[in-house]
Amino acid sequence: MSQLLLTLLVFTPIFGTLVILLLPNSFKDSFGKITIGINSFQLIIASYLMMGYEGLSEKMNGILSLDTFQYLEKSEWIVLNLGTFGRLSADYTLGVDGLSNSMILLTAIVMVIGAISSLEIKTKRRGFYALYLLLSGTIMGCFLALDFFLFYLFFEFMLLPMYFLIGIWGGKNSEYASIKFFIYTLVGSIFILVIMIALAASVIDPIATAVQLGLAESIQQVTPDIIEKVHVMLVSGEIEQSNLVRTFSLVHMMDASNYIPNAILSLDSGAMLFGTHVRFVAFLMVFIGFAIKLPVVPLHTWLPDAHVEAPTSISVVLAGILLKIGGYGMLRIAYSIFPDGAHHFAWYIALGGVISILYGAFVALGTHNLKRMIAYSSVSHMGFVMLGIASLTAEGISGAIFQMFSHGIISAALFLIAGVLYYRTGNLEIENYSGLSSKMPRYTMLATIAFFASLGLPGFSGFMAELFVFLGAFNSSAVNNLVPRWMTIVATLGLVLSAAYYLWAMQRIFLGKYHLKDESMDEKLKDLTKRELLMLSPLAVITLVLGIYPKLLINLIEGSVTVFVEFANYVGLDYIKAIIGA
Amino acid sequence: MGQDLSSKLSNIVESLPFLASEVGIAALLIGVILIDLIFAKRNKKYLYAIVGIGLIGDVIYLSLLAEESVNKLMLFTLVQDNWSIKLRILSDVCVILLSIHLYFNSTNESSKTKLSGEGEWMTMALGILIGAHVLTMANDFIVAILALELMSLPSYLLTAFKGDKKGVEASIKYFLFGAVATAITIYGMSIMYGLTSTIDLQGIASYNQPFSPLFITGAILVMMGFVFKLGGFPMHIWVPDVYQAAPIEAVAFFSTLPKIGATVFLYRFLVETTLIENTYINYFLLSTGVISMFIGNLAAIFQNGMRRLMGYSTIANAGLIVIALLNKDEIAANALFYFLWVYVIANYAMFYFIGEIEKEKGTDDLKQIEGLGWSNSAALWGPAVILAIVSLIGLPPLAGFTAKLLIFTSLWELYNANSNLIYIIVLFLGLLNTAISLVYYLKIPFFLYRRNVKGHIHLNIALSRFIVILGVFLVLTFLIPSLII
Repeated sequence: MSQLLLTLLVFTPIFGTLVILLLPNSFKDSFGKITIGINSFQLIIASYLMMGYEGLSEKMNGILSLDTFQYLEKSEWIVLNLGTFGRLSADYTLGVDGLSNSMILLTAIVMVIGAISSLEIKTKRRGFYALYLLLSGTIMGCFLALDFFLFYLFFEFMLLPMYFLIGIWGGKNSEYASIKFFIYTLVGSIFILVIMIALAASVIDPIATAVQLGLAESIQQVTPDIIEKVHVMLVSGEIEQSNLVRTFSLVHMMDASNYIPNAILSLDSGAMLFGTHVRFVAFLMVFIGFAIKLPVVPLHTWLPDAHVEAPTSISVVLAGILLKIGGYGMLRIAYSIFPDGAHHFAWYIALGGVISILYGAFVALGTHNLKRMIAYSSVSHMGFVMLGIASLTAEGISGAIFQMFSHGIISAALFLIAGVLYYRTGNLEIENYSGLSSKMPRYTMLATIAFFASLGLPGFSGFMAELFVFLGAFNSSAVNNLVPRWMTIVATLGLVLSAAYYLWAMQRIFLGKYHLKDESMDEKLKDLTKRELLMLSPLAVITLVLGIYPKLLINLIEGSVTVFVEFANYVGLDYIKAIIGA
Repeated sequence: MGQDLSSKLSNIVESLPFLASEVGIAALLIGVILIDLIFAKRNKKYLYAIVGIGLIGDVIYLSLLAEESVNKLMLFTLVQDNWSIKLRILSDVCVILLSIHLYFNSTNESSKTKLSGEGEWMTMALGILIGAHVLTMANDFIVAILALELMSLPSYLLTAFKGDKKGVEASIKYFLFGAVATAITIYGMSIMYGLTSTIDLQGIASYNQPFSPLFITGAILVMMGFVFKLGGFPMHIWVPDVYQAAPIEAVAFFSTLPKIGATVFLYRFLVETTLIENTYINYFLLSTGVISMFIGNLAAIFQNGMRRLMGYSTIANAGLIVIALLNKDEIAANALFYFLWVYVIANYAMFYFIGEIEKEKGTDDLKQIEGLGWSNSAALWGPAVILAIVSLIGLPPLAGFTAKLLIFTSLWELYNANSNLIYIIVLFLGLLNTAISLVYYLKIPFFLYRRNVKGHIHLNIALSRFIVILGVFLVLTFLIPSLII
């Protein structure tokens, strides 16, 4: 049973979509409950997985080889025999390691909260919940997939439900916002697709190739010696084209000896594109693909539009989880496969992070719409993820993952806070409200927690995350000399700015004398309902607990991060030497 | 001389068993004419069923035939290989889908665009089918041009089949363009024949290389007639007009079947004559492909009618087919084959839908489908159409994605083989077009679900179940591509 837990995690919601589509109309009122039920089931499985996750066991840290992933599921999926081109194989591989485990937990938590928040949706409910469940399945799949093809499948598939959820259930301008979201992300994924094709054309699966060559009877019988032999044969060019099994496996793509000699993306190809080595260009393309999703300034403009138009629960999912796929993809794909590129471009990536932090914060300072402000604060916070990743230090990477988790929880809470106001009055202009604290005390309290958590007050998870990132980025110049110190120093300005816009918004909306621009809103403004409390309080508790006791999360990711950092630093440098030598 | 003649005769006699499929279709065609003549003035819907069942038989026969060996038939004017067998099956499927389309559209008595003449329809469709069959096997110019004309002439008639003014105008337009395209092709063939004094493809290959500029010009002219059938640049002008005015069943048919034959012949022509290795031919294909994609996708953005939208989408897809022709390896053949299957199924699903909307609303205007998705009778139409559209865009988890993936992989292989940057640029432009196409393809599902329904709409529920099957086929072939390849 435990063998199929990950599959269950991905396909239960997709199955739920079918159930909702097929149920008769008389069940109209229970679609929401079914959705919450299925998402809670996901949360239970995810928590069970995290309880059993051996974060401290050295042999089960994932990253480098498939055997070290936990809860691994692997079976053959697509094998295309393409004649002289050889075989093309995509496997159904799911697994968990320190890069993905926190994201899985985050997804499960936020999806349940989002589902509860979706109860506000009153029109076309069947379609909404069906798409929502589809979305939860595909997001899970995206974090679990260890095969590029499978990953890409979920990555793209996610766009469609999101497009409809924003476009149909969104605000006035939703057609524009949803198509903008779709096109931006699709352009990003096109960059990724090109490199996926290129990698599949350059990388072989040594195990399947050994079976193809008759060196072993079946995949189970392939020993490390045989793999070694395949590598030697590959280098000497003894293997015929038509016997090569080309693979989409992300893990095989990380090993330089799996590259076909002289293939464009192999280390020895020496092929240049636009004046740089092809591998650097490839890294940049994958990176940009994910940077659009994260988003990084100047590729961020879809985000505020999408947030302002999206219904509350979709904003929650978008900010809480979807942005993290960008950061996760950078680590899992761009950095793991092209650590050389990561070194080569570290300076620019860090700069991009710093610009995002400052630009996002400055624009947030100038916005009048609460949701738009939170959206820009997301841009700013994702800049920390970039900075942490660029540093390639254990603290920096842990900080980046911590920040993704923490921001997932906090931004979910923030968009719910905005949603509470929007649900009552349909208006999110900050200037319309003043002194809400006397009218809605419980709301004010939770909003204060969320605002303070987001601005990085010690005691909340946001503070811990940003602290780790700063430590890592600052240390980087001593460890691997990738991020200059001045960038970290400039980035700390972001903290001041975010304190400024949050406190200012806080003061304008909640403090002072109770006053509304439009008096008719007065009777609509009621304090939080039980349902809203149920959504907001767990999030507040999580951010507090993680702020006080960060080890809960760090224990999960620490081992893998260590492996990842070592790999990216040493192997990355080796690759660069090999490329320059070629 | 006598010896020679008898060996030729025996070759022809030996070839006949291999043409059982075509002979069978010809018999079916004659049968349809006879039934049509004998049982005059009666509802002859059963003709569709007869043709459909007959062709299913042919599909079964052909799929049992699948073998690896290459047979040279009829004095090597025809070639029967795996590739031609597989594509003849797909051609049959097109006509089967057509007869289902006609069957459903004639059941509905309230139909405003009802067509009479079941016999005529089936006769002409079977005629086109024989042309397509022969074209998939053609190995010399004369046979190719005959097959091309066999496909074209009934098409002109079918365009004007409604008998209204617009249809006749489109038919004349189609005829004039088609005639010119054929003339250009024949002109090119005459140039090549003049230079090589042979008309079979292998003979041309042995012509002194490097090819002279005149020879290349001839080859490009030869390809024009087939690019016309694909609807690619510069022979694309007829597409939107014909799509706008012809009966919807004919449009669906034109958008699929002729492309199969044309693609196969182009592929065979380029590979057998070794012209594909020529740089100028490569540039011709590259530019035709890229320009077709841009023209198609950019123009489609501004369309309000679904027929024209699909017309421009056809032009864009023709560009993709032409680009896939660049690589001569097996991977490209597989990619094309897979692409054609997926394209036929997705296109048919779209045209079934457009036809149904026209029957209900009397127009194919996009605004007319606003909110339709929420009506009860469209409960299955909506999801099925979304599946078809997503496949046309080329997003996972639908087969259209795998088709594009294979085509782009074959392009990458070209780059890998000869490090010419142009292939990468084309690859990028192709993918960029995917993003552009998103803007107009997504209009359809967006309009379907944007507002609430106004009034009552009765779409054919039985037909929608069939479309769902087509949609499921597209998902299944994504999950298990070996179903097709």
